[in-house]
Amino acid sequence: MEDSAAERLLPLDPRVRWLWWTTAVLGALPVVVVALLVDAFTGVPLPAGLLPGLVTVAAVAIAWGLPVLRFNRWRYALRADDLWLRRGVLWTTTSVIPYARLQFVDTKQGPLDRLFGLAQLVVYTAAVGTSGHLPGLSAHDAERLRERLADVEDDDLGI
Amino acid sequence: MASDAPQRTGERLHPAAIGVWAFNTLGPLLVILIAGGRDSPVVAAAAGVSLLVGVVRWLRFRWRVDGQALLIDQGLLQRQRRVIPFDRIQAVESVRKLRHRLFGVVELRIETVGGASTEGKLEALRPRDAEQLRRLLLRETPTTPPASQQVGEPAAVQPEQVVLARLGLDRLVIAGLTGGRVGVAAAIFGVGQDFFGDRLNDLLPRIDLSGDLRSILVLAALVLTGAFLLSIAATLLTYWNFTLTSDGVALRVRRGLLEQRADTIPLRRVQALHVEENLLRRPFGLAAVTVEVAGRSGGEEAQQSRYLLPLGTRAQALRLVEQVWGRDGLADIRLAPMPTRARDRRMLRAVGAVAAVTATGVVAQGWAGLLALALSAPAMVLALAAYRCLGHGRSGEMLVARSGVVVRRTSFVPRDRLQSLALRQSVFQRRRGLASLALQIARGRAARGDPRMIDLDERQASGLLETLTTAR
Repeated sequence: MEDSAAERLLPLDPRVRWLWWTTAVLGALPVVVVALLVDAFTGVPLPAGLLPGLVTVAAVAIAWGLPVLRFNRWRYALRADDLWLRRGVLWTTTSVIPYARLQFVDTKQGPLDRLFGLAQLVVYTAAVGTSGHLPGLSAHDAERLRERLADVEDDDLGI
Repeated sequence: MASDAPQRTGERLHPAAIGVWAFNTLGPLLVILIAGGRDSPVVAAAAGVSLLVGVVRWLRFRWRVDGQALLIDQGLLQRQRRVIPFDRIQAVESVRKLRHRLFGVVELRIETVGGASTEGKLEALRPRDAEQLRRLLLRETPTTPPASQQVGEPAAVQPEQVVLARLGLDRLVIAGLTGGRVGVAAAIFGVGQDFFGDRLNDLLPRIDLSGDLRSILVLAALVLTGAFLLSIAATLLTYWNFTLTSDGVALRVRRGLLEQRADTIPLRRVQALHVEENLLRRPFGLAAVTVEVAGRSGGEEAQQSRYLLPLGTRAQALRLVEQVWGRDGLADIRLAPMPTRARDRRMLRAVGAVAAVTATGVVAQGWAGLLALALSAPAMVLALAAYRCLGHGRSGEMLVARSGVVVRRTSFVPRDRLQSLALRQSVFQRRRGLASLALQIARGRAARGDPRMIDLDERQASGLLETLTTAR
């Protein structure tokens, strides 16, 4: 087994920051536009341009900073018996998902994923909803992981 | 840049899939066409689009059997590849609805454990291929369908039914008086107050208080009494003649006055048991027992049938938990309190909430808003009570987690029922070195959420995270 190597905590593919930055900008644009409109067409008791300026600064800070923090926090590891995930900036969640509990595995690629050469891996157990979601793997890694997870041993539960 | 996407190989569905999909959208369109008759160009365009979507979907859909798993690739923009290992497949169902018959094809639905939806769908296959694939998928399953699906299989030996719980009339009345339905009663009372409250404010200053106040009190008493009576009646109807029996393989619940219901819960599908004690019941030492069953859908129905014991003494409840899990000594598990830092956190939260309310009050009502400070005492008491309700314990393979102040819930989860674990930590928890551990089980959708050990010591929580799921 390649345990010692496999137990290292791995970061996501760095390109995922570009994906998150892109979505953050797309999300922030309407806010900035609204701020501009409010400034132009309503009587805000502020000097002209101050409101959109502040909003833009805040939006840029969040849109730039959050993906960086998220990326720095994200770690995953394929361990001997389970998949280990840690994520979240304000609320940090660490999950341990035993391979023996996996029901099935999805790999997904949205348009933006493809633009940056990324893929997502989603694993499901019998628990409600999604059990583990790994965004921002390189397409190659996602495929490799999926194959490895598909080979897991038989379930000992049998609900 | 994205050239290393997985290459698509495998079989397509029968081209009739396009027709099958279109059939779904075309049905309503046809109705519009026949009924309206005028906007036919619009309808034609819509039909064209839906056909085009179908063609693209068909082109992008591939499935294949790869070793011991079924692979399904689909999607144009959002591409998805799903891998379902054979040994996870619980059932394969062939479906022939009208739309399939029209095109002479069969739909194959592949189901795994958990999840409300069908995990794999091949919506149009030639009947011969479908049959072949169905055999392939099921033959490869090492174990025949689990015992849970064929409970009470050989009718030859009728196993003995042991009565675990039975509820008399007196208990039912008390259950109605103190149950969750009182929440409904309180809501009705609240609506009454809302309705009359505004008028009350208008009237109070003007009218002679003595007479009016009395009528208000009488009204309130009437509403409250009515609500309680309703609650008792509803409880009687739902849980009349409640009997819980077990034959060692499955639990059987019988209940109901007008409509008699009988539920069978295979023991191996039981994922967790909760002992629930609400505020009204706790002082009297009364509790209810609810069950968490894998793969049960939500809704009110599930809400009602999750009770294994609508009301009993605490000792009865714990005894029932022991009997269902077949382990003794669960009642004696001493739950450990969470670190006192968890209490401080709750106190701080209470103080913050009161401060916020007071500030709003002062802004809105002037200095009279300071009266809100009187809330401090109950808020602190509640915070302290919430802390006291937290607890966690373990006895061999059984994990126990307790939380909740309004409804205190003590959950009993055997270690082998854990699907996964999640340790969650907010920024505030991190500062105090605390963390919450969610025991993720295969529960029904309607459930209150996974059992959680809230505000454990950080290091202890990580220790549990590492050790609980490792193989024994």
